[in-house]
Formats: sequence, C-alpha cells, structure tokens
Amino acid sequence: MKQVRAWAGRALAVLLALSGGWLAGRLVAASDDAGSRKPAGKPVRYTEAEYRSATVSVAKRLTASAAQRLRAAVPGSAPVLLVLLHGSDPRSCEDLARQLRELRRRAPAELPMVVWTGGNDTTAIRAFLRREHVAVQALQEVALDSVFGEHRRVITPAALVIGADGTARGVAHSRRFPNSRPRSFAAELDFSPSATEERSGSPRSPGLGNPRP
Amino acid sequence: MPFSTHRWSVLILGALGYSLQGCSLTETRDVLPEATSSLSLAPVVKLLDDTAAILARPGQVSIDPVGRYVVSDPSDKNIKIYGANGDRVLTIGRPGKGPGEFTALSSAEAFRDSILAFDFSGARFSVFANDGRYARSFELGRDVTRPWTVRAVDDSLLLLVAPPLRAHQGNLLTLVRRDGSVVSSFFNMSRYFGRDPKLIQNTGLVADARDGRVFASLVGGDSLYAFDYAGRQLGAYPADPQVPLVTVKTLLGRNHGRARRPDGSWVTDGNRNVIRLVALDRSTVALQIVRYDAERGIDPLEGGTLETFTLDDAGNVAAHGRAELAAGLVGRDSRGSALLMGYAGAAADAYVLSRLVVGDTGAARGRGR
Repeated sequence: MKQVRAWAGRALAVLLALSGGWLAGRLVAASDDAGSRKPAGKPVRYTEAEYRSATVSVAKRLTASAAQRLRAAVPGSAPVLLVLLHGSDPRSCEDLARQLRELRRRAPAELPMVVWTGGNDTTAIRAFLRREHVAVQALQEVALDSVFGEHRRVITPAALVIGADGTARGVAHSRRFPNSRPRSFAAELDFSPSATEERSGSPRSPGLGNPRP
Repeated sequence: MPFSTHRWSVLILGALGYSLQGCSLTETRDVLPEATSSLSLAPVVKLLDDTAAILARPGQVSIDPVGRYVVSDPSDKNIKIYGANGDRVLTIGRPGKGPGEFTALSSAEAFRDSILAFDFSGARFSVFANDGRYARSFELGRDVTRPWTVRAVDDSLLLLVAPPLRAHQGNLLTLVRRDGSVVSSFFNMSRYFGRDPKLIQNTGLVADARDGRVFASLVGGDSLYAFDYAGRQLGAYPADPQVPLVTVKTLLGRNHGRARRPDGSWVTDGNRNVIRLVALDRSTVALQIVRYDAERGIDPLEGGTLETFTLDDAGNVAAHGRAELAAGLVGRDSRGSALLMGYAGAAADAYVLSRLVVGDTGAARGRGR
C-alpha cells in the first residue's frame, strides 16, 4: 500500500511538473502575441522634392589608371557609359534592374555600357545582371573608392558618361527608397525614349498617356 | 542547500513540459513513402519578344479565355501578353503611381474576361480589359489583412497571401469573393513565429488554391499544409519527404538566434527552401524547392526540385512525384496542369514555357495530420 502511495505521489508530481511547464510555455507564447497587434501601416508617400534630393550630380575625372582600365575594357570607344555598383545595391534598390535595362535601351547604341564593382561583389553583380537581363559590354572589378583619386566612398548606384579625357558626368542615387523612382537614370542623363523603344514598347495599353520621361 | 533527486526530477520534467509546448510551435512532420510518379516537362511554346523589351523577370503565368499567355513582370512593373504562338502582342501598365501604373507589382493574372493586377504598394488592385485598356482600381476593405500577393483561384474567388511580417497579427491566408467579402481567413502562425524578427525576416509564404483545396508552405519552413475553402486544416506533410528541409527556425536556433555565423556567412546560405507553389486540379499541388545562395541570389527559372502531392478526400497523400527540372513553376493552364518556364538556351535571352507531365507509375499513401 505504501509503495502504491509513493508511486501515486510520483505520478502526481510528474503530472504537476509537466502541466506547469506546459502552462509556462502557453504564457510565454501569449505574451509573445500581446502588444504586437499594431494596425497595418500605410505606405510612405514621397514628394517629388524628396525624390530629387535623393539624387546627386557627379562631375569628376577618373584617375589615369582608372581611365586606362576602362579603355582596355572597351578599346576604341569614347564616350563610355559607366555604371558603379556595390554588391548590396541590387538588394536595397528594387528598381535598379529596370533602370539599368532602360538606360541600355535609351542610350545611343554606340555608347558601350560597362559596370564596375568592388572586388568581393563581382559574383553577386554578375548573377544579378544575368538574372535581370541587363546587357553590358564588360563587368570589371575595381577599387571603387579610388577611381576618382579621392579615396572617399563612392555613392552607388551611379550612372556616368565618361569622356575621352576621363571626365565623368552623371548621377548617383544617394538615398534608398522603396519601389520605383519617378526619374530614372536614363531620364536624369537625358536619354529620351528612342524611336526603337517606342516601337518596342508598343502596343501599349490603350488609354494610357505617353510614357513619362 | 543541495537539491534532492526529487527536486531535480521536478525541474527536469518541468523543462520537458516546456519543451513539449515548444514542439507544438514547430511545423508538423510526417513520413511519406518514396516518390511514385515521374515528372517531366513538355514544351508548349517559346516566348518571342522580337524588338520589344525582353521579359525581365517572369512572375506568374496564366492563360486568358482566348488562349493568350498573361505574364506578370515585377521587375519591369508591367504585364506582358503573348499570343498562343508565343509572339508578344501587348504590354499592359508601366511604372508609376497613376491609373494603370505600378510601383510594386506583385501579381497579375487573367481573371474572368479581365486581367487583375495587384500592387503591394498601397494594396491596390487594377483591372484591365482583355485589350489592355485600363478599367478601374480598387482597394481592399480595412477588415482584410493586407496581402503581399493575390492568386486568382477561379472565376469567383481570390486568395490573399499576407507576408509573415503580419504573422503576429493573425491569419496569413484569406479567401475572398469577387466583391471583397470574406469566405474564410486562416493559417495563424503567430505562435510559431513568436516575436523573433530574424525568423520573420527570413521566412516567406507561398500559397495557392484550386478545386476546393488551399495549399501553403513557409519559405524557410519544412512543411506543406492543406486546407479546405472553409479554412479547416486537412493535413501537414513534409515538403520534401526524400530530403527533409531544415527550417530557418532550426538554423537560427543552432546559431544562438543569430542570422550570421562568426565567419560572417548567413545561416540561410545553402539551405533548401520551397520558393514556389501552384495548386492544380484534383487536389494536387506542385512545389519548387531551391537551394538559397546568399551571394548570387536565386533565379527560380534555373529550376530545382519539383514535387507534386495529391490528396485524397480524407486528407491523406495519395501519390507524389519528384524530379530535378531546369525550369521554374509559374502557374497552371486551363486544364489545371502546372506551367513551368525555363531558358531557351545558355544565353538566357529567351524563354520556353512548358507543361508539367505527371506520370502515373503507381500510387503510395501517407497519412497527414
């Protein structure tokens, strides 16, 4: 009888311990849920001025070695369309691929497009360009922060037109914002929609106006 | 005072009880038999863009009532329409915030005699006529959880798929009628996610519905869930019975809750995930499983492991198939077969749309729960 009581006591202790642990788990789970029922936030709306402030004009000159590197990539071509990318840009800019495709379509065909990226980012950028069907003449590894000789962090993504003398004129997108920009690289570099592109886009949805610049 | 053996036993059992609670927060698993159906691709059509801008990143593919292929392109933020012979015939929408424009196009499909597109930014639906003419837009009611993407189930129902970011808010799946009224709302994973931001950030959700069944799988989970249209769970099964998936929750747990290892690599790098899911006719579902590459990213069109599961009326797996295929799941055709898209060549500058052929080489049964 005594042995039965002992076993019953142990069984009760086991039951209490198990249920205590289970209850603690429930309380923790419940507290995880509590306080997190925030209403769904509305998407942030950006003004045109804010978009413009997120763009930086670039007017610099490549170092002699950088200019030589570029000429080696596309011999005999001047000017050259040069895009600077860090490996994180495709992740942080949802609109980057579309803008680069548009830039390629709108820029004159004789203007070769070259992408420069940091050494550790080449694999990621090459995969991004292939996956997103961005056609470029060359992808090169360079130390981005020294291409202008200032050893300062270069703002990326940047799209530049490089002249025969190494002058670089263009824009960089200094601030990230979600989804799409109203003015793309192509528009900022004044590459208007070509007749070919207008044809290729058509037939577009009837009822929509002309594409924005 | 030293603890007695009895006190230690109570503590250990208490911890065991706590861990049992933890078990209930993990995804359910069940052992299924070996794959019994052969899977293969039957090419349907090569998509030809001619002088038009190439289809940049195919999202969903559906077939409209006149047999054209409707392809959403989230990267270009438009919808590309191809004729039955594969020629590009129309481009619908463009980037922007105006009528008929998209800032974050997350899905677009043929729906009845229209094309229905969903823009995640602003949670706005846009409706286009068959000729591409913009018709109208509308937003969901405040009582509906804001979805990440939308699937056209049939002519009368839409499935709203919320991102796990909303996991702590309740149900992730909602079936709605054409007028926006709710049929059912289900798949609450708040206990599974808890409040771990790393788990939520590294987990996604894919889901689809057809023929009275709703199928769902967490991207970063290890299970396939099946529901009826009332939201009742019919079962949960291992998404890859042959090579079981490892959940992000497990990977984070092994790395003390951190997403990056001491050497800087991501715990999710190299892990296999369900990335796409298409519900088919006759209670069948197709899954695409891909190994995540943290450096290169992934291209679903390069393919991976394709799995199919067929449920019987009791929610048991009646048959399943498995194959490694070089194409990605993109939708289903009018006959309820899975559509896959792959590259026509090594240059990846043209696409081939194929139909998934499920061979009938036998049947196996596995119990869901």
